[in-house]
Amino acid sequence: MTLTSYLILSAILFTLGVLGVLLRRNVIVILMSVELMLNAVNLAMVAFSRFTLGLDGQVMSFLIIAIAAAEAAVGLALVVQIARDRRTVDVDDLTLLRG
Amino acid sequence: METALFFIMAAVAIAAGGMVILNRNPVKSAFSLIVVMLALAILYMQLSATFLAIIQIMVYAGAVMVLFLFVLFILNVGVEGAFSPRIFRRVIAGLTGAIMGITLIAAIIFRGSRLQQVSGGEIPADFGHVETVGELLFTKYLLPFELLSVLLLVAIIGAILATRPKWPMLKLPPELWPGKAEDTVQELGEEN
Repeated sequence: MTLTSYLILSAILFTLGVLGVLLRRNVIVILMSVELMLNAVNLAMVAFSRFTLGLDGQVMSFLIIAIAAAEAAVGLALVVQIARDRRTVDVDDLTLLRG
Repeated sequence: METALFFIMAAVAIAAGGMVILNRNPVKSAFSLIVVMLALAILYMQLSATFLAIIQIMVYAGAVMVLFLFVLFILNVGVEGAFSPRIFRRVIAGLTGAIMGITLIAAIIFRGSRLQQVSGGEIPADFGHVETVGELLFTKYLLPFELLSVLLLVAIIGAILATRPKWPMLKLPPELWPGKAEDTVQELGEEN
């Protein structure tokens, strides 16, 4: 397989993640869509690493996975606290910061 | 064989990725996301990134998604309207996503001839093994690696602090919990 096909798959998955963030109302599903976008970027990194024969892309991908784990932990902690406080995880109802 | 596996896994990943954003039930979305991650792990193996494939399965499909499912179960999030009811917002969101996707794919295809040039060459036998990746991680990328450990520590502390109830609850009985800091300190002083 060529590099182009892997990059197109990565672009499609990233676009699905963006659509999920923009369209969904549930905060947890929005965080899942962010994870989907991070996975798409990882795929592009690993594909570049394979086709340029350098391992730097894989190391970057490793670092991204660790950062994604930290992001999920903090994000979900905030979601739990918001859900306790406001009894909802619907972004349309979370309007406290709206001007 | 390689081509067939790529197309099967790409189809699985795209279908499951679509299910993540289309499914009304968040638990089903989470399981679809696990399928995406497993498909990507197989693609990583095909790209001779064996170490990353294992890490992908353990950290992403294992730890992160279990965390998501735990939160879904704790909060008891039910099935609800998946998308925003406002038509205008749906149209804007769909347009934004479509334009972004088309731009990305067009950029990749029109730069395709250039991308083909970097493809090729024999891969070394130990490419992507834990030894070679680890060596790079502890030499060239040592500083980002160490900073990452600090980031993880900060994330742990942040997550614990964010989910903690109101603050002077340490060692206090539950009836004294909600935010009366000065009263509770006084009562503690009398007890001692």
